[in-house]
Amino acid sequence: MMLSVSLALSRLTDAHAEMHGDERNLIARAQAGDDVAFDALVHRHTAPLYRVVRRMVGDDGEAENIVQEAFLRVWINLSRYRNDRPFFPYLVTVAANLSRDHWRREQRLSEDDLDALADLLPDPGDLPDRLVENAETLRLLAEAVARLPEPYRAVIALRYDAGFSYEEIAVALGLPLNTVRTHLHRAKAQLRRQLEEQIR
Amino acid sequence: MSDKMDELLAHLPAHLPPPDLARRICLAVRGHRRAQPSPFAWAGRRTQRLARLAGLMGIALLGLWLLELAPPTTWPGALAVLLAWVAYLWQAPAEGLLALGQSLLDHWQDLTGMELTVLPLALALLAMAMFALAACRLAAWTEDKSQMPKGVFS
Repeated sequence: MMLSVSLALSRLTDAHAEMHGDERNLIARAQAGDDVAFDALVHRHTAPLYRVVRRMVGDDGEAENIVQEAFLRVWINLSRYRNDRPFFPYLVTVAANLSRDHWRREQRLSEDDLDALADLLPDPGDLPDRLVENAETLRLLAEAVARLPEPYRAVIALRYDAGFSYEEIAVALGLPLNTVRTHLHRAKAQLRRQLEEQIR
Repeated sequence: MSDKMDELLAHLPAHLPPPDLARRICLAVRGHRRAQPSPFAWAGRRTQRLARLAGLMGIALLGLWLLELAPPTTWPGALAVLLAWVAYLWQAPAEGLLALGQSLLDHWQDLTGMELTVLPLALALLAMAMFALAACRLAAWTEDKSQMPKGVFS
């Protein structure tokens, strides 16, 4: 039993290393001017990147533009990319910068507005027990996320769709670490309130 | 709250891109790659700063040259002469132009060695500045044109 578990783990690790080695190889080839290798990177990362960006900006057309622009910028700066870093977080960081520019242009909410909004929120407590994870709950939650202010949405997208750590989110959005923690805390409090209103 | 909310957020339904988005991105990036590089690609922010510096130096030299040629005490007289030339050119353009050319030539021959050095230098600096600024404008314009337009996929 122990042997089979360790064998499975070893296979998983090998697959992971192979994928990363393969990606490094693709990037090196793309850096050398191989169009096919860059196409492979685009095909591999378009869907995960779109998922993150779409959550951030809340609009299909804008998400497509940002994904496209992110790949273009990555391609333009590919010669300067250090191939020992993971590629997807780099790509997401580029897209997050573009998304941040987008919401700054929109200027819907300032930091002061966000602070004022947070004062209205209750302290986060436990979610009601009757709120079980099912398709309907997740749909309501997705709608609630879409209604969040852009900076909160960005933090949620990077944390849960991209799987970023707090530190990575801070770098991607150019925010202090504490602001990231605050945004995430407030975003969850707002989501909780909205969910409770929906199921009441 | 955190655990349950974290769990729910981690399982949010994902938005899927249009099926041909990756293919369109590949085509767009290749299109951008094959686009001819701008002949003014060298003109960036540093060129713009240098051009402004050269322009300011050119204007300053030209101002000093004019001050040397016509000190402020002579300005009222110079203004009267200028007005007289304008009136002359207005009344008899062909004759006036010939006379003006001859007068400028006479003045040019009267210039000292230093004045003859400073004027071309000032004019050269101004010309360089204008060329570099125009190149920066063209570089920015061609860069805009080569970017994929917004909304191309929507």
